[in-house]
Amino acid sequence: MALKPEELIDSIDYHHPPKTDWMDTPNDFKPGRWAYPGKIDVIKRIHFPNPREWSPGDADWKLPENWKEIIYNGMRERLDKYRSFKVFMDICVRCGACADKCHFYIGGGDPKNMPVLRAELLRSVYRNDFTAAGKILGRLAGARPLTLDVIKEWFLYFYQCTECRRCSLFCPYGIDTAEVTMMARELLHLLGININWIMEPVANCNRMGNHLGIQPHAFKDIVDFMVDDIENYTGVRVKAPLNEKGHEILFITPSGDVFADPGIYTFMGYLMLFHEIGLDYTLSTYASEGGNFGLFTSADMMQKLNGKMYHEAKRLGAKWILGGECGHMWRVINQYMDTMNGYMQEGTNLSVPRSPITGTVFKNAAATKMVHIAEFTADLIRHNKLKLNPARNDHLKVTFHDSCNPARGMGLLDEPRAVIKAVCNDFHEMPIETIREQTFCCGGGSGLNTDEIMDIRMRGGLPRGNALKYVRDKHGVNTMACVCAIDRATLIPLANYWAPGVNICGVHELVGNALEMKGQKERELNLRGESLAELAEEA
Amino acid sequence: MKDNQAAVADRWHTAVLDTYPPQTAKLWKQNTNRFTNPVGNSTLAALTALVGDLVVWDDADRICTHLEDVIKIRAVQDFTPGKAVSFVFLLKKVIREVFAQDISRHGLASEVAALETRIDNLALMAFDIYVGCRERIYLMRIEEFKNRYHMVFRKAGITCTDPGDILGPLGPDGESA
Repeated sequence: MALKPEELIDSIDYHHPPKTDWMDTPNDFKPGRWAYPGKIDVIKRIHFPNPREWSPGDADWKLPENWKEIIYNGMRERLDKYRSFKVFMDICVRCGACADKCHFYIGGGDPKNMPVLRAELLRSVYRNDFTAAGKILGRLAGARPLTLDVIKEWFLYFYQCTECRRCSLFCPYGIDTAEVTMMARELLHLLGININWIMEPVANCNRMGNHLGIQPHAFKDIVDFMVDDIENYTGVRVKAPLNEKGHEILFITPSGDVFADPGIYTFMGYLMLFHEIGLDYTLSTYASEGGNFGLFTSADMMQKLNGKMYHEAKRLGAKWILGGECGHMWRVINQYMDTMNGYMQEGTNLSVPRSPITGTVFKNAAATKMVHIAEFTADLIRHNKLKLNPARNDHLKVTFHDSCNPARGMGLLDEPRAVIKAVCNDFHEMPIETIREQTFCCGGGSGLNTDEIMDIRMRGGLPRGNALKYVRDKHGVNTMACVCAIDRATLIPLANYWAPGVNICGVHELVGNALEMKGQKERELNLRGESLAELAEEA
Repeated sequence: MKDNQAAVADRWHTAVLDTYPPQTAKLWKQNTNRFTNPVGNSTLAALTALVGDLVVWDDADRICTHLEDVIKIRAVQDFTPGKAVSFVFLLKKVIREVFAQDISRHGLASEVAALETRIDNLALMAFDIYVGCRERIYLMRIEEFKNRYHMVFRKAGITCTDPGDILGPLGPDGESA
């Protein structure tokens, strides 16, 4: 029978998504939806389970025969060990406050990226096998049996969480979803399910001290390039002491600052600052990685990599540790370091950090003996210890991206802003819903900053990009500063895609450019080697 | 069309949001904060502008800007290329729904045909923009790789600041001489 006109119109259907319940919605494993798995030799080097050739795109993931038993035992062990994990599994009332707070959900719309539902992927198995209600009522109580598809689903979605903790901010029970993700990833690691982008830096940091596995002599050569560049641009030859004993301070920054553009310009800013205030410090190649990708694998690996900091402080005899601009490094330091490795301070020279220039005692760092450089520099500026010429940054209209971990993991909100405002004349905040504690992730944290999942990163970065575009259009913002090495890499494509025309820099790159140095020549170039006169003209 | 732009845009917006899972479509329809719900609000703003563009039909650059606001988002979401740009064709359905009675009562078949030709043009522009977005993604992946190893390449002496070093001087047509 012929259809009526209205029925004909109704039958036009270009695309409708499945209306099945989440437990019955199948998962898509096409390339681009997952990051590459760990290479065999990398997995062997760090003695993680089940090294093998495999791909998430294959039907057979080559898991151990007793995979189910491994997961059950792993869950039981962690439920006993971490009270928080058990509470987070039990306490959620599915109120939905977190549902639309995740950047991946906001940008992509996949319901399994709602933090509540992502956690439910794990909770449903917990209910099924560890609670009486789940055992009796099954699906009625939100329980489901553990199957291979469930394991695969965990891999897809717990690697679409950047552990940024924005959702936790809105949870009335304070459930730390990042820790749920950490547990899920630990469980997956027990089966040998991992991604190379995390495992290789872990193996490199473990062996060589930095994420690229660069050997100490090459590391020194690379640092020397930057010393040469600084001399070219300023006429001042700064020192970059490396592995030297007997200095007051050990300085540790993410190694991305040494290798990657534009982190290197931030690193040059550090060197210039330290030279100018005459800081008694050394860098280390053994502890040359502030970031800790171990955090994204297991508590044990995180502890091992983090231990290098105290180990090196002891060997070199440092009194306290100054840390560079990094994100998750500070989550590890602020929330886990003292518990994990505080005992390693025994027999060291470490004491409560005190700025040798201003005399300020950093009581907030009394436990770990580690100070964030934004606090340190803000304190110098507050005490008028730096001669600054912000006009050298006048071609820049700057906004600040709060990196998730310094903002939500340690409350570092005002110090970077104080520094930026002292070295730049034109600063604009992004909308309040997108900064400070409510800041949106770059979409590449927790080891997801690899390029094969660029689409996932771009949709995760959409809320940040949207806010950036707003200030670009409203105020002409052309620079977004940040205090995180991963951000300095991931925000470049993010800005390029969502707000073209905005450049990314570290806060201490701005400091370096504004800093007046004793004995400097006429400053014609910035730290990127660009002509200041031309930049001013273009602006 | 001129008098019913808001109604058309609203129906179109609903149809486009319906290409997402139902609970998402609901949330994105409800939340009117452009910073906490960027997809829902950017899409509505762009579709509203496009309905106006369709009536005036005088500035291809402006139309492309508005199309790009939607396509940029859909180009990185979980859509096939076809589904990513399908939202343009949904407008045909919306127009026939909104103006069903007018079309049959006043015999506007040729006007509809003219309008639908404009929509077909929109679809072609959308396709170009979609491909442009994907190309940008691939370029970004290459640039990111180069940035990451910047100093290692410099240490190895394999950086190239001037393509002329490798290609020789470029001719007037941009081709290597």
